Amino acid sequence: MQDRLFEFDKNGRVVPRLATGMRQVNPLTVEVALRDGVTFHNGENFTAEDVKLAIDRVSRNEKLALNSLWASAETKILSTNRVRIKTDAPFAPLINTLAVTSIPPGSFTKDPSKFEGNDVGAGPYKFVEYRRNRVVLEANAKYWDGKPPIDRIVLEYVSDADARLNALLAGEAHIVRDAAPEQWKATKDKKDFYAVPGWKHGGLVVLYQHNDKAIAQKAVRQAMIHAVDRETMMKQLWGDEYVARFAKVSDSILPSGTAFYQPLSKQFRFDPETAKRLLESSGVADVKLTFASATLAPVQSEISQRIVEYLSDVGIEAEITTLEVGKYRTDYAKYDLDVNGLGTFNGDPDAIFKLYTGPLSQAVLHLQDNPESKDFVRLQDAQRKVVDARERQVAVTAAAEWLWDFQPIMPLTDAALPRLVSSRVKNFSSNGTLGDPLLRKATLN
Amino acid sequence: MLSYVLRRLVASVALIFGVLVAVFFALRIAGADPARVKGGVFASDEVMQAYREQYGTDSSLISQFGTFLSELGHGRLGTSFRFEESVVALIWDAAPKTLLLAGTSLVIIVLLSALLGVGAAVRQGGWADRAIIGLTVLGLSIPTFFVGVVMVLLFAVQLGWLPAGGLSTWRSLCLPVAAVVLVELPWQLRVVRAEMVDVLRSDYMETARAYGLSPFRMYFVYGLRNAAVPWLSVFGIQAGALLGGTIVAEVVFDYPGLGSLLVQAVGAGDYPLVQGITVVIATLFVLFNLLADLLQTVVDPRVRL
Repeated sequence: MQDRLFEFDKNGRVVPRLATGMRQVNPLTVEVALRDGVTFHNGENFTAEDVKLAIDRVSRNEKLALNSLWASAETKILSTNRVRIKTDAPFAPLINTLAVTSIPPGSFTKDPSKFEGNDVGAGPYKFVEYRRNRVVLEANAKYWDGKPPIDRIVLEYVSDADARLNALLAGEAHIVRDAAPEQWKATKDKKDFYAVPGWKHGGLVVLYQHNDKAIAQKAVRQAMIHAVDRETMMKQLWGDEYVARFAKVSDSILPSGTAFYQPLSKQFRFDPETAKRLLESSGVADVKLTFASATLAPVQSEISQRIVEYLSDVGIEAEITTLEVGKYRTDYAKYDLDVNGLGTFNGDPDAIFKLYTGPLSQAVLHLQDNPESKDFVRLQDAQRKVVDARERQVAVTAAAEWLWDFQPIMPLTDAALPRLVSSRVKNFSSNGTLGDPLLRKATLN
Repeated sequence: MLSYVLRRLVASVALIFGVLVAVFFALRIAGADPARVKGGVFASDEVMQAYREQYGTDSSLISQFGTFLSELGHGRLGTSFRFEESVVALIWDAAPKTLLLAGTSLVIIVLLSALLGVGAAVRQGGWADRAIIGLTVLGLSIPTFFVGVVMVLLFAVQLGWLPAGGLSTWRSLCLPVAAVVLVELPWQLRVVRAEMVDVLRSDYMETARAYGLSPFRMYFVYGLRNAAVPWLSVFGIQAGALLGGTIVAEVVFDYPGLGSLLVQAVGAGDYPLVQGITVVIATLFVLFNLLADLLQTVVDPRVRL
């Protein structure tokens, strides 16, 4: 429904949409040229004022900027189709952040109550209805890039994974998101379906609570990743082919779809002897941890159990508590360990790094209790202020290497669970972001 | 009998209230925090506080309970946190669908239990009896979700005869009803067969035979009526299993009834909706049991309540 100034293509590259171009004036300032002849679903024309209001809303509010992907900025209207965005400090992730910032009509931004029971944007689909688990959209005949081929889209939440798959197999649904290995296996040899990999901007990790005395020790955390044979475990639980196609074992703190990602030279290979040595060197004895598990991720219970067994082999005891899904969502941070998903919404490494310095690091990891982590703030700050791409690559790699060595979490897989698609749907690709905006190019036979 | 019904109704109200109190406190003590579910891990303290005020979970448990009782006294079950709609409206929409599924299953279970149970007893030891006993053993061993998944794969995916899920036409009912019937029928069937075997050996059945009554009249009018008293007792007890099976079938078949709604409500920490659905399910269970007891007086005048 909502178009943005930029968007991600299926490979995660940023390409213009409502913007026609962007010029870096200086390290603090960019000018963005806006597309002419665009109208919102309610008939209002898209103008520079809509852009200013939308960006001001997230960049002028300190709390919102802190909790979102934005930095403090000021947006100035240069003409009806040109704006200038000036950040208080150099902000390298700007273009990626613009690619996830919706631009609704200014009248809606000024009065958000208008969004109640309604949504208006300048995108290829118009809002028709949202009732309970069902959202209905219809093609925008006046879309600036041409009316999308599929007239009507129904997004429906089906809570049971088997029911989702069955709806696809029986032809009652055309696309199923985030398919687990078992679901993919059920369709992979059928000509009536194909799998579309998502953009790898996140993955499965073990979250640590750094307020535990043992976990606060870097040597213990490094011992833990050496203790777990991540590759064998994931292949056994998710299957060789699924892991190879959709979920390779992490080789960096950054998911491989993130901008400036590079595999890091140092690798934490499965090595129980090194794990035992590191544990001994930490001086921490009788490590006993709590481990929260649930059924959110595919075979999450089995992954949790296997990790506990690996840890036990090197002398780290962990006790699993399996929580009901809702309880897990709210309580996992009360346990020393849990298997969870972690990713970036805008494909920029800063969004990942911010997880270890921003509010999440306190709420979920208790990193404020780990004094060593403060060293990372400088590296994180440095990479987000480098606007030049080559220089930023160096700064991002330095930050990633520090964090990888620090092991604030245990990265398991670099995963982008695939969409399973009926072969009646042609030209469908996914950029991995919520709502699958590239669906506008798909056709239905 | 009227005083018995009144006493049972009073006891039922007390029982339902007890269930509600237990669910109210269990949800808040052991369940998910709805504000955190809504806000996620990124939500600031201010946002969390705003959600807690909106949901009324910012006050003490006793205060929340007082508010809840006061609202309940006015016939209000609150607003769903997950769907932001009146709980009564959500239940009003979903309950008839659950009753349709459970009711249709129940009618088929009763008819098949009577027909097959009598048939098996009459042909006791024959191939039909052994086949029916074998099928009941199989049915008792298989859980509803497994039966459901197998039937979807066969009839919806492979053959394409029936919808895999949802509720659009009467055809959508076929698979969930079949799943519930296949799992719940064996319990009833075994009771009817065992009771009919005893009934067929009784003197009054010999007398009926001597009078030359037709087999239908003998077995289904006189025989089944005598077998019905213990059968109805089991029916009351099995009401919980029937409702449980219906809830599982709703999830497996993505059927938009109370069961699907309950699963989502629990996952979202949606206290008002869980409480509302619990009241309805507990009420159905209690009424079903009461009805089974009252029916006993109809089929057997010797039973005095």
